[in-house]
Amino acid sequence: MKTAVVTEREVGRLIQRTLQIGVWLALACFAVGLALRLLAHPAAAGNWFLAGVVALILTPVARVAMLAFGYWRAKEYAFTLAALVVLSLLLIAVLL
Amino acid sequence: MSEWHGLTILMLMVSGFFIGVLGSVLGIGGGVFIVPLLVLVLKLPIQQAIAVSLVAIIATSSAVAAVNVERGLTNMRLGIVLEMTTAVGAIGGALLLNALPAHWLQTLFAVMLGPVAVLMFWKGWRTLRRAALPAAAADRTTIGHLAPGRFDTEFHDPAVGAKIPYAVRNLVPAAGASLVAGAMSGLLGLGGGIIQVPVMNLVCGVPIKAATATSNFLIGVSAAASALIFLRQGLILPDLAATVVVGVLLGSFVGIRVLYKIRAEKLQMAFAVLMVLVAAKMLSKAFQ
Repeated sequence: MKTAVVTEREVGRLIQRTLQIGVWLALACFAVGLALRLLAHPAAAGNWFLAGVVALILTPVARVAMLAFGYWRAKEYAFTLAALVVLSLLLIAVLL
Repeated sequence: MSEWHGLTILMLMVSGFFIGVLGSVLGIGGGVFIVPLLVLVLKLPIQQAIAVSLVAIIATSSAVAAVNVERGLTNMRLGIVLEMTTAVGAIGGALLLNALPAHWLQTLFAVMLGPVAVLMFWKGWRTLRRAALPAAAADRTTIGHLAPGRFDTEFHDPAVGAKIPYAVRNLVPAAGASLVAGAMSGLLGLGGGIIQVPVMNLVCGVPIKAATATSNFLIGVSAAASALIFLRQGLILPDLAATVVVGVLLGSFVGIRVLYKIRAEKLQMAFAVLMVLVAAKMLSKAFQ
C-alpha cells in the first residue's frame, strides 16, 4: 500500500460519492414522479418512478465498477479482479 | 397504484419512515418488516413484496454505506471478496423464487424470522450484559492485534475513544455465510445481515461495528443482483417501490444522524418478540 498511486481512503471517497450520487438521483426521480402524479399525469409519473428504481438498482453496480477502478489505480490487482468478477455476475443477472 | 387513495400512500410512507429508523437503530435491513407489511396489510403477492423490499434494501444499504465508508467502518476489501459468493447466492435465490409457490415462500419467510428473532434478542441481551462489565473486559473481545494481512485494518470507535485495529481470519466460512445470505436476499427479500454479522464477528474476528458496516455494504450488491432479475420479470412495482423507498430513506437519514448514539438493546429485544408474532401471522396466512 505504501507505493500505491491511490490510497484506501481515496478509494473510499470515490465509493462514498458514487453511492450518494445514486441515492440522490433516485430520490430526484421519485420527487419528479410524485410532482407529476399530484399534477394528474400518471403515465409520465410512472416513467419517473421507474427511472428512480433503475437508478437505485444500478447504484451498487456503479459502486462495484468504481471499486474495480479505484483498486486498479491503487495497484491492488487482486481486489480489482474480485470487483470485476462481481461486476460480471451482476451483468449475468441483467441478462437472465 | 392509481387505484390507491392518498391514505394508503401516506400509510406506506409513514411505515417506511419507521422501518428506516428502526433499520438504522437495530442494524438490520428493512426486509423483515417491509415484506410482512406489504403481504399482511396491502395483500400484495409475496413475490412482489419481496421484489419491492429488495429495492428498499438497496436504498438503505447505499445511504448507510456512504456514511460508514466515510467513517472508515466498512472493510471494503473484505466486502468485495465476500460479494463474489453473495452475488452467486442472490442470483440463485432469485431464480428459485419463481419456482416456489407463494405459500411455500410465506412458510419459509416465517420460519426464517424465528432464528432472526432469536439472534436479535441474543444480540441485544449480550450487549446489555457487556455494558454492565468493566470497560477493559468488554473491549477485550473486539480489540485484536494488527497483523500484516491484506484484509486487516483499523477504525476509530468514538464510544471507546480509540482506534480499533483488527485482523481478519477464517475467510472460507464467511464466504459460505455470504452465499447463504445472498440466497436469502433473492428468495425472501431479507438483507442477510443477520447471518453475515455474527459470522464476521465471531468466526472472522471482525469487531461488531465493522462487521455490521461491512455486511451493510455487501447487502446492496446481493439485493441488486436479485432486483435486476425481478426488474426484467416485471415483479417490481415502481410507484409502490418509490413510495416505500422515500419513507425508508427519510427514516434511515434520521436513524443515522439523530439516533446514532442511543442504546438500542432493549428495543432490539422488544422487536425480536414482535418478529415472532409477525412470523406466526405469516405462517397462519400461508396455511389459510
